Amino acid sequence: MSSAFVHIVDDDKAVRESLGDLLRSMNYRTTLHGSASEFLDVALPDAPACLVLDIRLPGTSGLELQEYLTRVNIRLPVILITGFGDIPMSVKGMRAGAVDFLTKPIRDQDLLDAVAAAIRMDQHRRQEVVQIAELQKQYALLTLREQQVVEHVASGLMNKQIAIELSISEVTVKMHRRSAKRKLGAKSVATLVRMVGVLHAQKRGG
Amino acid sequence: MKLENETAELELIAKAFQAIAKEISYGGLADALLKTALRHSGAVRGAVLLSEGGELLAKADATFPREKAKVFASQPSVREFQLPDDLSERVFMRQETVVRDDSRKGAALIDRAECPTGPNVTVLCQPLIHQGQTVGALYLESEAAPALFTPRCLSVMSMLASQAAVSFESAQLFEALRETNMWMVRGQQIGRMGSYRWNTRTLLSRASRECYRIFDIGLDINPVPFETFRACVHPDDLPDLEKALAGAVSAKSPFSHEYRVVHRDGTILHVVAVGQFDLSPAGDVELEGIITDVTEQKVSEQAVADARAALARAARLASLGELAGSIIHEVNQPLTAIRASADACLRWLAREPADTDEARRSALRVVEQSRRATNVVGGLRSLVRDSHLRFADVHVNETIEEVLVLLKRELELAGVALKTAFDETLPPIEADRVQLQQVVLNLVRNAVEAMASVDGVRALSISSRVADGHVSVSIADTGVGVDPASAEHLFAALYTTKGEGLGLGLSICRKIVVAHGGRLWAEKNTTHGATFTFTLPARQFRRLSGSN
Ligand SMILES: Nc1ncnc2c1ncn2[C@@H]1O[C@H](COP(=O)(O)OP(=O)(O)O)[C@@H](O)[C@H]1O
Ligand SMILES: [Mg+2]
Repeated sequence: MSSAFVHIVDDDKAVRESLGDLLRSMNYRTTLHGSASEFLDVALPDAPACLVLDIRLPGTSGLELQEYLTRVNIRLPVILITGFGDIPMSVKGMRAGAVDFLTKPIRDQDLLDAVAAAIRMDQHRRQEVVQIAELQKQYALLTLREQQVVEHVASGLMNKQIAIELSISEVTVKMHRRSAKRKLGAKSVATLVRMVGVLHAQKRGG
Repeated sequence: MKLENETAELELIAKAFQAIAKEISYGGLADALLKTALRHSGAVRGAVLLSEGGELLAKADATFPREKAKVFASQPSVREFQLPDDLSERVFMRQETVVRDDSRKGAALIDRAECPTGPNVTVLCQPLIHQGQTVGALYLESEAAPALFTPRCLSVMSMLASQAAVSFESAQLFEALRETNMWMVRGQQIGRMGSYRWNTRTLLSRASRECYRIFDIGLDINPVPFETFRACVHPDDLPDLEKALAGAVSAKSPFSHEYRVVHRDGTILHVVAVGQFDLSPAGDVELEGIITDVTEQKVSEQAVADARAALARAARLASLGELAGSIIHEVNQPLTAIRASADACLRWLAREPADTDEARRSALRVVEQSRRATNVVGGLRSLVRDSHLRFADVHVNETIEEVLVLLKRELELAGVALKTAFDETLPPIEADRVQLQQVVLNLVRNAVEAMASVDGVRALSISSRVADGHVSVSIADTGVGVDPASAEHLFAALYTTKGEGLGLGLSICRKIVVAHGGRLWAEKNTTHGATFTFTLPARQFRRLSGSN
C-alpha cells in the first residue's frame, strides 16, 4: 500500500464511501468526511496527500473550504468533484487553484489520473519544504557579512560594487562569497542566486 | 361433490366467496349462497331464508320474527317454506347449527306426494349471523349417508354463511344509498324535474309536463310509447341506457342513469333518471321515478373542470422545469456511487490474489445504490406520470385513513402514538385522491422523522375540519420543531437537513396542494414539535349522479 492519503469530503455517505472504496482498490489510503468542519476537525497525517472535495456541501461549501485552506496555508492539492450544472462553480474552483475537477459520475481512470497527479504535486511540494528548511538552516550558519555579500550577489551587483557598498576590499568580498558558497553547498553563482530567491519567496509567502 | 384435494377445495371456496361478495341484491345473494352450499355439501335440496326485505338487518331486532321469515331462494323452488318449530327455535333463537338425521316426515322441502318413500334425510340448518343478530338461515337436505355433513363440510358452510351475512348487509346499505341519492336529487332540483311511471309489460309511460318539456315530446302523445321515448335519447347513449334499464328490470333494483336527450331543433340536454320498481294496481311491474335536467350544472361543471385542469397542467410544467435539475442531482448521486463501487469491485477482483471480501462489499453497495436510484425515480414518476390531475369526489377522512393503514407498521416501529380527530361532517371535495395521499404520506413521514431523535413522547395527531368553504387537515408532531423565521425555506426544492434526505417531499406536497387551489404551511407548536396544515377548497359543484 502506498503511503499517500486521499481525503474525501462529500456529504453523501454512499458517494464518499464508494469513492473511498475505489481509491483503496487503487492502493491509496483514504479518510472520509461528511462536511468541511468534520474534515478540519481531524489532524492530517504527515504523508503525501490530496483532497477530493465535493463542491456542493451543506454548511461550508466546497469552494469556501478550498479558500480557507489556502488562507491558513494548508497546501493540499484539491480535486473538485461536481454534479450537473456546477460548471461555473468548478471554473471558480480552478481559478482558486484546484488541481482538477471531475464531473459525477466519475470515470475511474479520470480519478486515478487526477489523484496521481495531485499526489505527485504534493510529494514535490513536500520535498521542496524539506529543502527549504535545510537551506534556511544552512543560511543561518552564514556570518552577517557573508549574508550581506550573498544578498548583494543575488540582487545582481558586481564584486566591485559590493565592495564599495559595504566599504570593504574586493578581495574580502570574494573571500566571503567563496565561504558562503561552500557553506550553502552551491556549486555555481547561478545556484546561489536561485537559493536566495527561494528563501525570499518563502519569507514573503509566510 | 366431495373434494380429495384441500387446495382445490380452498380455491373453490375462495371463488364462491368472490361470487357472493359481488352480488348486491338480496335475490342474487341468496341464490349464490344456496348454489354454492349445495355444490360443496352435496345436498340435494336446500333453501335460504331471510328476514323480510332485510328489515331485521336495519333494525337489528332482537327477536327474530319467525312468521316474517321469507324464502329468498330454494331448490326445488317453493313459495311457502316453514322451518319445523323446534329447528327454528334452535337455529334462530339459540343460533345453533343443527345437523340431524330425520325421517322423511321431518324434511321440509321434500314433496311427499311425489316421493313418499325412500331413505332417511339428513338435515343441516345453519343460522346466518351478522353482528350478533340472526338475519336468516341456510337449510340443506341430504339423502346420502349421514357422513355427508362432515366437520370439514360444516366449517366450510359456516364460512360461507358468515360471508353471506356480511354481503347481505352491504346489499342493504347499497339499496339505502341509492334511495338517499334519489331523494337528494328530488329535493334539490325542483323545477327542472319531471316524474314518470313506466309499465314494463306494456312499455308505455305516463309522465308529468316537465318530462314532455325535457324530452321535447308533444303533449298530445299520452301515454308515451317506448319507441317515442327511445327516439329522444342521444344515439350514443342509447345502448348504455337500454342495458341499464334491462339490468334494473331484471334485478328489480333501483335505477339511476345519466344520458343525453336530443331535441327536434338539435339542442342537447343532459338528464339524470332515477327510479324504483313498484307494482301497478293491475299487478304489472312498473318503474316509477324522476327525470332531472342537469344541463346547466353539466356545462358549468365542465368549464370549471377545464379551467382547473389547464391550471394544474401549467403549474405542473413550471414545476417540472424547476425540478429537472434536482432530479438529475438526485439520480446522479447514486449513479456516482454505483459507478465507483463497480469499478472498485473489478479492481478488487483483478488483484493477485483477488480480494473477494472487498469485492463483495463493493458489489453490495452497487445493489444498494441501484435501489436508491430506483426509489428516486419511482418517487418522481408519480409527479411526471400524467400531466393532468384526475379530479374526482374525494372523502378526505377516508383518504387519510387509507394512508394510515399503509403507515401503521412504520408508526409502530418508530414508537409513535397516533391520534386522529376527524370532522365527520366534512363534505367530499374534488381532488386527485392519489396525489392527496402522497401529500399526507410525505407529511406523516416527515413528522415521524422529526420525532426520531426525540427522547420524550412521540405523538402524531392528525385532524380535519371544515371552515370558510375549505377543508383543512393538520398533522402535528412532537418532533424537533421548525424555526418560525425559516419555516418557508423548508418548502424549497432540495432543502433538507437529513443525511439521506432528498429535500423534495415538501416542495412536491406544496405543488400538489397549490394545484388543487389550496395552501400548505408549517407552524411551530406552543409546547414542542411542528404542525403542518393544508387546506383544500370544498367542491363547488355537487355531482348529481353518484351511482355511475
Ligand atoms: N415535521 C417536521 N418537523 C421538523 N422539521 C421538518 C418537518 N418536516 C420537514 N422538516 C424539515 O424540512 C426539511 C425538508 O423536508 P422534505 O422536503 O420533506 O425533505 P426531506 O424529508 O427529504 O429532508 C427536512 O429535512 C426537515 O429539516
Ligand atoms: Mg421528507
